[in-house]
Amino acid sequence: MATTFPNIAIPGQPLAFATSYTPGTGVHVFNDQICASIVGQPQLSTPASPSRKEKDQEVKQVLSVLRPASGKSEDVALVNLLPQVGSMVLARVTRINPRQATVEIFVVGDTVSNDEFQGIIRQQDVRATEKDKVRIFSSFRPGDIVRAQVISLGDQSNYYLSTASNSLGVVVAHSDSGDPLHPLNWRQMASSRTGAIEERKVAKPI
Amino acid sequence: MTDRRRINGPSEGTTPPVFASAVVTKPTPTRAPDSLRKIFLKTSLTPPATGSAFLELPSPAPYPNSSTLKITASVYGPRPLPSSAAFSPHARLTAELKFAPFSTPHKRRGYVRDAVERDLSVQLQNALVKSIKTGAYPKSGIDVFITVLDCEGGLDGDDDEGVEVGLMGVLAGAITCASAAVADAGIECVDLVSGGVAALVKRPQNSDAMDTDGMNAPMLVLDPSPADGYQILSAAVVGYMAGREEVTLLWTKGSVGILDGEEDELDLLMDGAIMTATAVRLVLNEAVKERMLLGLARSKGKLKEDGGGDVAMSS
Amino acid sequence: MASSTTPPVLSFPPQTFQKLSPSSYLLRHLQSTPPIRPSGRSPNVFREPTIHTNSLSHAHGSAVVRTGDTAVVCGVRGEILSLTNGEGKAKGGVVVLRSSEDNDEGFVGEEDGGEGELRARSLIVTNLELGTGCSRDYHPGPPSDFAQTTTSRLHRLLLSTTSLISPESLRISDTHATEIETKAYWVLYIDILCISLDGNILDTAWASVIAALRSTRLPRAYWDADLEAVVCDPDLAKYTGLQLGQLAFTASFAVISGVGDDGKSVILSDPDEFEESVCEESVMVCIKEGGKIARIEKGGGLACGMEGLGECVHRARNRFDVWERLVKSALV
Repeated sequence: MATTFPNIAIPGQPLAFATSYTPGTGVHVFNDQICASIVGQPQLSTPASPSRKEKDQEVKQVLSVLRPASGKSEDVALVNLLPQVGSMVLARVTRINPRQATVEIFVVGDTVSNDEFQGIIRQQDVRATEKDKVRIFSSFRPGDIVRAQVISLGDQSNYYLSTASNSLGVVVAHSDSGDPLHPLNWRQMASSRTGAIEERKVAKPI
Repeated sequence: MTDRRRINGPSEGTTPPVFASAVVTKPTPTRAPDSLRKIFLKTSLTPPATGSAFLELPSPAPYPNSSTLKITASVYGPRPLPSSAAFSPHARLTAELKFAPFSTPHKRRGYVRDAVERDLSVQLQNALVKSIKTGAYPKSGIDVFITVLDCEGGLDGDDDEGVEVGLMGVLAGAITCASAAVADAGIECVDLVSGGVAALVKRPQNSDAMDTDGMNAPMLVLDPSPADGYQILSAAVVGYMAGREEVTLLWTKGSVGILDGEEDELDLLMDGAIMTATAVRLVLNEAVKERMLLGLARSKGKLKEDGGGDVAMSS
Repeated sequence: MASSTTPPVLSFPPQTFQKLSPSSYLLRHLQSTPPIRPSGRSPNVFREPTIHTNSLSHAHGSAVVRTGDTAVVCGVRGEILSLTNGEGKAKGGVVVLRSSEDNDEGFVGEEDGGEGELRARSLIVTNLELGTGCSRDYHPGPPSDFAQTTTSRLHRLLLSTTSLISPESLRISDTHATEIETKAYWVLYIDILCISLDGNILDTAWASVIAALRSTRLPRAYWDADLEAVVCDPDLAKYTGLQLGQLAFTASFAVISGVGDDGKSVILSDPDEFEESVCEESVMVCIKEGGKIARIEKGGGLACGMEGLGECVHRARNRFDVWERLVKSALV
């Protein structure tokens, strides 16, 4: 059926029947209807990859309500994003101990957060191979900036993060004497000024 | 009471000015019982906050001591809870309401939070929490801060024999303003809550409408104001989600009984308050859309704004 | 093999860079030609202010001042402080009311008490409240250190630096007695609420105090001998404004050093929240009518010298003209 969506939907406004579309982000289902959850523009999109079961059926489009990043002049979205399982984050290492590194997440996905979330990278989540041989002291130091992935919401105070991938790990670091370090290979960084080598779990530069 | 962290007045205490002749002439109500005052509601006036709104409600008649209700709301969140907080799969909503020292007519309010403000804060929290999809934001907090800059009075119940219609008006306004701010913040809600007040008043002596019973039957007034001059018998404030037709908050004051032996006064009050809240919801809808419409028009680049707010098309 | 090849440049989007190293972010902006701040302003540009007065119903005077994203509401309310019997005669250097010829210029006179009387009796009660949800750092509750120090600075500006209010204008005297006796005082509660904060609360709060005081109209209060109490005349036409001294306005600056290869310093007018968090050094200049310097505050670093202070005073004088025009037009 041809449905015309309002230009801007408000929370609680029914948009379509739940049978016509798959609910996406910014919507919820109530009384068999897909209703908006935020103030935004309803948009249709095709799902990325239909599952095997759906191949036979007609692929339903995904109905979402999106909030355009407008109003203010910056492109940063107004909504505070929370780290979800699977989000890529940038975090700053604050403390280390032999079992884990404590970090503060300040970028979630592409948006800089207004508030910082605390997370930990446990010893077994630092890299994919030889997990028991990991030494936190040779992987991270306080002050490093790390790219990581959220693997769990964790407990009351920490998100659990992992750097077990080639593209994850330390992206910016400084040596003991304060000079910036640049990556040599996946486990070493060298100082720009003196050439001294320090050990880190390094992210592959893009 | 000296607050050591603030500059205090004289220790002997001060009194508000006492006027020579009692200038209080009780006003006569001029507007129709079912007329609603025009609400001014604007969002995004506090850029540092995730979402914000400002609400203004004018006094019914331009008579000497007319006042307006002015409320600002700012919303922060979802943001991380302190580590001491227990793990929660839902977001924790906190609402704090504060009267500014210069907001009330007689006595100046201090900065320390008193019981009335705490009570209104809890009521506001109850009204809002069911509309927000807290399950979408685990381990986080959503904070709503309301400041009442100006209110109409009628808070202590002196004017209307203990029914405190002014306080209800403040709560209804705060609910509407907070909902607008939450929507402005982009926090997922199942619906928006709007506040509405209705009151049963003593029918004025010169009123033409007479009940079958005589003049004793109370009259229903929507959106009552302490400045109207009615003698208020009972009143109710609701927080209402118009889309879902659900009441999230109900608070009545005054004695509510059976009318004519048939109609329940409580039903009458509630219906009246819901009618008011539904009308307020229309204003709320327009207000939350306004900001986005403006942003869309600007980003499209096809429209150029003049200084006076007129929109001219560029060729 | 540690070669001295240049390391691969790691690029982040601007917002991330701003969060990672805020001072480098600011310095990079200021190093461009012409120097520009992240907000788009030039270093010597202040934000354009707006003033609205008398918008509050229950305050004797009020002003809402907005400077960019910093917005402040100031309300002035007068209450009566009754003196106990006989107190007005003996204490406080209260003298027989002099004729108006003696008091035509300024109001600061040691003979008539001046600041001392205001302080001794706590006749002016200034308070700044930041716990209104104006910014993410300020929560409701007891005032933070920053709120307390800013309140104290505003209070000092009002009482000592500008002596804006004379205690004479606050006295309520019994004019029928053979000797003029002060029976009571007006106490002015000046409450400043910040509703939005993006740096430089002081300038905006001070301007709101000035505008609110100028818009204040108090009822005529007199001593009623029969009732033995202070009574006010409800006639609105008899309300009078306060007798205020000369106008004065403040201008605040942030100073950052290390700009460019020679490490020179740049003075930023009217810093916003981000600039205040990065710059440690700050300067505040208070200018009175006629371009006179009423007060200079400087601290936090060594980069700003005599030349820098001269530049600040020059900018502050221009800013005074902007504020003066705005206040005068708002109160017409």
